[in-house]
Amino acid sequence: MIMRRLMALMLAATSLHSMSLLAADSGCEGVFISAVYPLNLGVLQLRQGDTGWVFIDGTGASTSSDLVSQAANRPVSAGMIRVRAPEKSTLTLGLEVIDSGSENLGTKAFKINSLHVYGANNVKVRQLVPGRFEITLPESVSGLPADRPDTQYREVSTDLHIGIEASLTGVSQPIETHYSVDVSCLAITQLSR
Amino acid sequence: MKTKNQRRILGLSLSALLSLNVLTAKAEQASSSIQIYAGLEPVMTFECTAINFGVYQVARGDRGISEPTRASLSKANASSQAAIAFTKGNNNKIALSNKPEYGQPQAGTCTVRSSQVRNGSLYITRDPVDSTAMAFSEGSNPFASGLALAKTKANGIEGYATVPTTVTTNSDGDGVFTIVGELDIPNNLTADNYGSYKAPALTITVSETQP
Repeated sequence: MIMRRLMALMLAATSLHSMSLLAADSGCEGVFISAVYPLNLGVLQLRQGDTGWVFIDGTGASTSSDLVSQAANRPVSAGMIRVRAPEKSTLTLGLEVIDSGSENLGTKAFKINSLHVYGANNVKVRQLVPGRFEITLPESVSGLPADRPDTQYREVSTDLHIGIEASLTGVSQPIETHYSVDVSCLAITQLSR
Repeated sequence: MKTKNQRRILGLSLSALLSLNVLTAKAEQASSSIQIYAGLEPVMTFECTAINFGVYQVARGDRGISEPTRASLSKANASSQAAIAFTKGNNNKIALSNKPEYGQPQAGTCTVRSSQVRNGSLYITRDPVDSTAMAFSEGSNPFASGLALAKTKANGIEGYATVPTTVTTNSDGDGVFTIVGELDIPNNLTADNYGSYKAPALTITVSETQP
């Protein structure tokens, strides 16, 4: 009798653990993220001491406040990452800005207010809180990945674009600034295999 | 028999847990870093103050002159006061008013800041492009408090602006230049010609590269 109860508990625990893999595993198994393009704001011009803002959307289009202009012939582009993960899974991605430290001369003049994630039409993107995004991936249209025959999942690969909203303060001398953003999978929810 | 089945089930459970551990080992690739680059540079600013030729006391009717009286506005340097000299025509029966409410003549002062050209030259262009006469018309003169608009424009009242073609910048990319000019005051003024006048706007453009 005691053995049966122990077995029942064991099975229940094993079942719960297996469910956690399927339903909400925080280990992000089978999720691969790679950076494709950096986010480039170009060269922003504004009068010394003036303040303003700039917004780059997922297409790389730039919008700015009245006092800010973009220098001509300087490239502006949204960032891009590639995510490969089990089909129909929902990922929680965290974006954390890492200051570049001593190389970053523009921290007082350039402040990142928010980062934004944009997906393709068949990818749902929802901001949970600032810096955290829920990405729901579509069903795979291809079979199991040929390069990984041992996998249990059908995968999808999709590109996500990264936009930004930043506030600016005019400087007296030209400066360049640089940040790194760590993009991490914090959790995965897979509805079905 | 029951014990044997229980062992098999236990074995399966342990297998499941072991396979989970294998999957967890792949999680190290679930993150990446993306770079953000931005440049900031000061934008060049440029402002000019208005030119004020001053207010003149002029006799009505024929002043006995064959050509308009020309009042030339000059300024020796950026910090000096502008001066008026009658350089053409007869200056009889005409004088610069010194009433305090009428501001003193002022040259236009143009200030460039934060150019990317440091210790160099900026190029100045004007529109209209030449120094053809600016036809004054009746209009409010902000330098002449209390002076009413002229009811009728005096025929031949004209002005000329003298604009330099370059300005030198300092190590901060700042520079200052002055716009002076000349004012022609015609003969045979009528009572309706007295009052305030203004010239059409003169557009000044400063470029860091040669136009």
